[in-house]
Amino acid sequence: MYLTLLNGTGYIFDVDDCMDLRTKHRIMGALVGTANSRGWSTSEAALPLALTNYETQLLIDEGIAVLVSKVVDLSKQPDSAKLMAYKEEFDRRLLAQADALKAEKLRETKRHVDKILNGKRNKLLQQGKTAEAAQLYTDRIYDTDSLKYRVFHDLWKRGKYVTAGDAFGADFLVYPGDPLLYHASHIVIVQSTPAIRPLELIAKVRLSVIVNKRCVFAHATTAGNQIAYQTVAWSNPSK
Amino acid sequence: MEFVPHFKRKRSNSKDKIKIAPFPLCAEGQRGYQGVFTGLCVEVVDTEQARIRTLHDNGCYGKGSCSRGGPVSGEADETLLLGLEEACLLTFFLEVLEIRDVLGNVMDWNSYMQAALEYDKDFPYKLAAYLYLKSKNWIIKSGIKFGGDFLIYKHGPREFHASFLVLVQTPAENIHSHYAAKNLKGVQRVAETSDKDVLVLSVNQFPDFEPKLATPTTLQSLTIQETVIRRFNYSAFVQTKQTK
Amino acid sequence: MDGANLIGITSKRQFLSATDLIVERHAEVETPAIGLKRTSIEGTPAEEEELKNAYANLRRQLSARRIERQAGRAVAHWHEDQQAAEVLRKDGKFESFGYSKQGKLYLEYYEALFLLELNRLQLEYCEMIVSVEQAYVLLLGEAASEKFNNYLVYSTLSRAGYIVVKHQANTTTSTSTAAVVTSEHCIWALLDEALGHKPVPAHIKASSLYKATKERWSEVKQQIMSHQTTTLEDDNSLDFKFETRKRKAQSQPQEQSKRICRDKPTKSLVNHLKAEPSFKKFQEIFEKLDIIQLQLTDDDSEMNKELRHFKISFDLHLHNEGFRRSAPKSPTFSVVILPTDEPFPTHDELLQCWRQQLSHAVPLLVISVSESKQIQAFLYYIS
Repeated sequence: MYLTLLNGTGYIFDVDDCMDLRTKHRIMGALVGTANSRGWSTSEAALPLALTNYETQLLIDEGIAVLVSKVVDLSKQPDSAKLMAYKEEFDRRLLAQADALKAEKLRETKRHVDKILNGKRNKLLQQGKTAEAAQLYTDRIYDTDSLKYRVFHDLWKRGKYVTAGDAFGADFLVYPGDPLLYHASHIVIVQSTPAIRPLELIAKVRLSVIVNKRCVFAHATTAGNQIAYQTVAWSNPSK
Repeated sequence: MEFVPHFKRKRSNSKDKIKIAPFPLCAEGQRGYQGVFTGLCVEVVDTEQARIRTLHDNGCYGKGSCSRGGPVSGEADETLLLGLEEACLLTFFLEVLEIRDVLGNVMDWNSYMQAALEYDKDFPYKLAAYLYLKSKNWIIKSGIKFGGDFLIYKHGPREFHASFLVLVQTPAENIHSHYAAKNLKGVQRVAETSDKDVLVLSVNQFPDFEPKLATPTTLQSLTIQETVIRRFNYSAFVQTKQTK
Repeated sequence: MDGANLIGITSKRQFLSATDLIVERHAEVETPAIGLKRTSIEGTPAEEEELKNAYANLRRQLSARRIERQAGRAVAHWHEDQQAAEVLRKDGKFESFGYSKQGKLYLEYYEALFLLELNRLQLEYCEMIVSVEQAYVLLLGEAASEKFNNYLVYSTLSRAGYIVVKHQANTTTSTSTAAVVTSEHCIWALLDEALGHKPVPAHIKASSLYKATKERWSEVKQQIMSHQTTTLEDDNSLDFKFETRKRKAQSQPQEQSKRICRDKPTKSLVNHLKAEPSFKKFQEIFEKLDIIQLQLTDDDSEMNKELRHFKISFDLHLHNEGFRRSAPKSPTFSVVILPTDEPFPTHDELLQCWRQQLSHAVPLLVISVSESKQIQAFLYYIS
C-alpha cells in the first residue's frame, strides 16, 4: 500500500486502502476531504484520509505501507506528445458519453451531453499510462524512541483500536472495537515519570468520569524497555 | 460580545433560607477561634463560645472533618479544617482566628508564611488571587475536585453551582502550563459540563517582589489579569443568526 | 533523483465507463443514521451484522463520485509560481471567493481546493485537469505546514454557514482610514479605552503623539474627578483641539467619563457580586481586603515579556448581512488558528493579537485543530 506524502505525513486517496487500514490494521486516521454532497453538512466526511505522523510511522515500521513522494511527477510539465495524447483521450471519452446518452434515449437538452468525471485519481491514466513514478520517502516521520510512539505502538500491538485523544484533553483514546460502532473505553495519558502531580491526577481522572471512560496513565518502566499502565478510578463514597 | 457569567441556582428542597454573611464576626478585639496548623491545613475545634458551625456558615469557610461539606455530622469531636488561604484571611485580615503550631506556639504572619510556603511554594500568589476574589464578594472553595485551584460561588455551594473554576497562573511557573492545549481542553470540558467557566488569574509581580518575604504590604504590588476561555459552538451560533 | 528509490505505481482506479458515468451522475449518497454506539464487544451475530453495515455505509460514502456537466463548473488555472489559481470562467455564486489583481480574479489555495472538492471548480494545470490528489500535492504541499489546518478550518466554517474570507488587516472604521495618526485619533482611542473597554490600537500607541496626549488625558481626567473648573475651551494646548463639529459629539462621553472615573476604572469580568446587598452591608471589610489590583491594559509591562505572535487568518461574515467582497463590512469574528502543539495564547498574547486589528470591535475566535482533526473554537474574554 502506498501513502502519499503530504503535510509531512501519509495521506490515502483510495477507498480500498482506507477500508483496509481500518478493517485489517486498526488504523483510523481522519477523513479531511470536503464532501460534495448537497446541503453542505459538516458531518459528511470524504477522502483523503490523513494519518497522524505516528500512525504513518507505525505503518512503515510494520511493513504495511510505504510512503512515497509524488511532487516531482505531479508538478512536471507534460511534453507535447503526452498533452496531445491526453486531449485525444479526453475527446474520445466525451464522444463515448454522447453515444451512451443517446443509447439511453435521454431526452434532455444538448448541453447535458458533456459529462465528464472529476476526481480522477490518476493523472497518468489520463495519458494512457498505467504507472506513475513516485519517490520512496525514507526519512523518519516520527521519533520511534519517543514515549508517545512507544505507548501508541504497544497499545496497537495489544489489538486495541487507538486514536488521538487531544480533543478530549488526553493523549489517546482506546476503543474495544472499531470506533464506528464502539465508544472509547479508556482515555490514556502519557506520563514521562511514574509520579503524577496530584492536581493533574485529579484533573484527568475527573475528565474520564465526565466522558464516561476509564483513565489510564502510561509510563515507561524503570528498566526503560516496557510500558506500564496504571488505571485510576474515581470513587464516590456517598454513592 | 458581552461576558455574562453563569449563575445557576441549585435545586434546593430545604426551604430554610439561612441568612449567611460573607464574614464571621467576633466581638471587637477578640479572636474567638483557635486553630492548629497541621502541615496540611488549619484545624479548628468546636467550643461553646466559638461554634465552628457559625464559622462555616458565614462565608463557607472550611470543611467538617466528618462531613462532606460543612460540619454537620453531629459527631462530638468534629473539627473544621481550613485551607491555608482561608486560615490566613481569618487570622491576619479578619482577626477572628488564632493559629498555633503543633507545639502550641502562636504563629505570627512570618512563621505562618514560612510554614505555608513549605506546603505550597506558590502560596503568596494563591493568597493574592484568593484575596482578589474575596474582595469581590465571591465564596471561595478549593477547586481540587475539578483539577483547579479554586471554585467560586455566588452566595455559596448550598444555593448556587460554582460559576468559575479558577486556575492561578503564577509568575514563577512555566507560563504555558495551564495553556497547553491538552490541559486546557481537559479542564474546559470538565468545567463546561457543569456550567462553569474557566477563569485564569495571572498574577504579575515586579522583579523585586520576593515571595518568601511577602507581607500584606508587599502583596499590594502584585497585580492580576483575568482571562475567561469558553468553548464556542460555531455551528449553533450561525444557525441562530440565520433563523432570525 | 535517486533511481533506486523510484517506484512505479500501478493504479487500481480506472475512469468510469461512459455508461457508468451517466448512471452515477445524479447519485446521492445518503449517510444512514448510525444507531447508538456500543460500549463493549459481545460477539453476537447482531453486532457483527451492524459492523458489516457500518463498513458498507462508510465505503459507499467514501466512494461518492464528483460528476458534473463539462460546462457546469467554474474553470481555473493553477499558477505554480504565484501559488494562486486564476479564474478563467466563473459559475454560480462567486461573490465570497477570490481576490482581484490587475483585472484578473484569483483564488487562494484553500478556496480553489474547497470549490474543487465541492465539484464546483475544474482546476487545470499545464492544460490538464488535475485530480484531487494532484490538487493536494500542488496546492497544499508535501512539507508539514499550516496550509492543511487552514484549509480544514476554512472548509468546516464555510460548510457550517459562515462566509470565510482572508483576514483583512485594513478593515477600518472611519476614524482610522488615514495612515497618519493625529492627536485626535489618540484622544478617540483613549476615550474608547476608558468607556468602551477597548484596548488602544498598536498603531496609535506607536504614534509619537500618543504619550503626550495620554498625559494630557490623565490630567484632564484628574481635573474632572476633583471637580476643578478648568474648561477645555480655555486651554490652548493643541492636543485637545477638536473641530467644533466633533466637540459636540465629545461632550456626551465626557459626561459619562465623569461618572465612571469616580469609581475605580475597572474591566474586571468578575465584579458582578459587588451589586449584592451583602457587599454594601460589609463594604468596609471588602475594601480592607481589596489590596490586589487588576492590571490595567495600558500598563505597558507586557512589552517586557516574551510574547508569542499569533496570526489572524480569517474573517467570518454572516450570509444574511449582505456581504460584498468589494466593500466588506466589519466581520462577526476574526479567526486565529492555533498552530499544532502550540499552547493557547495567554492574556497578553491575545491582547497583542487583538491590537493587530485596526478595528477592535471584532471578537477573536481561537480555533484549535486536534491531531484527530476535530475543530474546536474558543472565545476569550479578557480583563
